[in-house]
Amino acid sequence: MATLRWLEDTAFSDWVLTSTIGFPLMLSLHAVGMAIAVGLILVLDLRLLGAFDVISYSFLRRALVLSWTGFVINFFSGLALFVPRGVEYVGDPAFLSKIFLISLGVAATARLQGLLSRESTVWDTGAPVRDGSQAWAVTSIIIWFGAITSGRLIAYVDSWTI
Amino acid sequence: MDHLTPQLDWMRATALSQWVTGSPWIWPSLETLHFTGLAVLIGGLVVMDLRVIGYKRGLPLRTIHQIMPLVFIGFGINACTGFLFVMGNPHRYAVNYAFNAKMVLLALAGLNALWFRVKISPQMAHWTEATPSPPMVKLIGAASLVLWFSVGIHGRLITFFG
Repeated sequence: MATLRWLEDTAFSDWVLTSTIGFPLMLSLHAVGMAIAVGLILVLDLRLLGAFDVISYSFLRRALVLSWTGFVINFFSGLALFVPRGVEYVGDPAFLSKIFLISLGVAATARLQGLLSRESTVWDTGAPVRDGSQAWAVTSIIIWFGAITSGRLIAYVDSWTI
Repeated sequence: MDHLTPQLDWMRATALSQWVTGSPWIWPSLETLHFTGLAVLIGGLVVMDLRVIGYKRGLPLRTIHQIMPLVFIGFGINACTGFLFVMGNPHRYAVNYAFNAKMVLLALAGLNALWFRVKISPQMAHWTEATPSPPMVKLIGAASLVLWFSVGIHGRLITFFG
């Protein structure tokens, strides 16, 4: 807590909260990074479930690099948004569930990335996709929708009357 | 915007407008759907535009229109939820700089897509997987990405630049 309080008092926190561009810039980056990361994962998930079979798995394997770029953008923009309000956020159920769901989502994405790295060329020949990957795809869709939902609710937690 | 006041008052008085602001859960739920729609739209769009720009092989250019349903689903979710935001708080959006800029960018992104559909798509029927994208086609793909990300960013800025 002491560290979080110290972080809130830094010049950086002050810049994020009070400058004209700090907060809007970080939030915009966070939305863009989310759309790239989740959007491409969603295309992969739907592909695994049988949609959009014109997209080869090797194309998706390479495109997934952009998803990780989205994660990196959001890790840093998210950190910039967290630092000025850390004390409040660590006690916020919406924030905590968001972080929990993102951890699960990143693990699921890493798992799918691993499957793609090994099997994309085989799958592209028309060989059946391993059953397990479809379960991962469904899990991934649920996790990311949950992460978006809890992320959005962070803005409303102040008005909650629990 | 004073000349629009009667219309804005009328919008605010509709049952739909009252419904949108009638429960504290509706607005955050619509926002969550709007962010989900953004991810769906951007996911489909990034895959298509990467291919148009010339991103590796593994997705035949002449088949990319098969990904359009995903883009339309994302756009449809956001057109509906976006319409409900405007109905719920018409006076605010009418004078909001970021919102108005977003609508202009949206129109430009739409024209860019239309240009691709009308001028480029018909030529693509006899392109093979190895056909490189002509410079004009790459330009349209790049413009699409820039315009749609600008739409997303201006949406995020509505909160800040009224």
